[in-house]
Amino acid sequence: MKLIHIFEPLWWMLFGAGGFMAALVLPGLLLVIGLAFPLGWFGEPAVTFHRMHILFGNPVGQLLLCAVISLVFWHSAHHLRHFALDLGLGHLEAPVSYVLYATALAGTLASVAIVGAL
Amino acid sequence: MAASSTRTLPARMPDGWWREHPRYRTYVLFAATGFVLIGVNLLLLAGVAALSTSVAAWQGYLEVLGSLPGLVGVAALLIGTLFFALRWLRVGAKIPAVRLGPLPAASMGLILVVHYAGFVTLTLLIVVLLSGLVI
Repeated sequence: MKLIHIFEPLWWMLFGAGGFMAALVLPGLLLVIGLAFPLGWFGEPAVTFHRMHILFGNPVGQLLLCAVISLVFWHSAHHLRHFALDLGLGHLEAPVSYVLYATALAGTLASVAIVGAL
Repeated sequence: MAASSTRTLPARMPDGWWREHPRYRTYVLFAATGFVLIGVNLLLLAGVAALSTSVAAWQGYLEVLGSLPGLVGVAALLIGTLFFALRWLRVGAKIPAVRLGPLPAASMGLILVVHYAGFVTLTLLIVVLLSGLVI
């Protein structure tokens, strides 16, 4: 059994948690931050800057934001691993998995550092 | 019957199997949404980095997103995220429900309604919180 398969329950758990985060939280965040804010629907940049700091510039907001972003990275890594298998890259499963999970780990560390600096 | 000692290769799908049927293509497209979600994550992280820098950085971030290429990119990410979200919630409802004590297990239809209700509720909550209606 390859090392990557020993942690299979962990990958699937992160995949499930991240999937629900992505499905339930990401569309709303993207709609507001990606469309409503740039188009000025919810106020001037200085106003939204202040509002975002109130919501996410505290430990609870930072923890929530970190959890959402990190889990979505892990979900995506696992989903793309199976995407690679679907495309016939089964013989490269181990290296592809290591690269994807390392990317998710890097994304997690980056989100901790970036969100923590708020 | 004794197990055969002949070693065999693991079963694998024929090459290009996913091109053979629309349902297979949708399945593979769903798996590829991992790229979309990573894109959304990077966009959000760039926003948080701008937020932790200054008002001017935040304004610059919003100006990039509000430009025509920015809006096209965000619209593409939003479509991909919505495709992922609705399919994830529908597929998730097919997982057999756990029985809790004497209560009968919830039906697939009920779980699907709860999933969609959760999606609508949380999306509205996020929009209301970030819109400034309450803060």
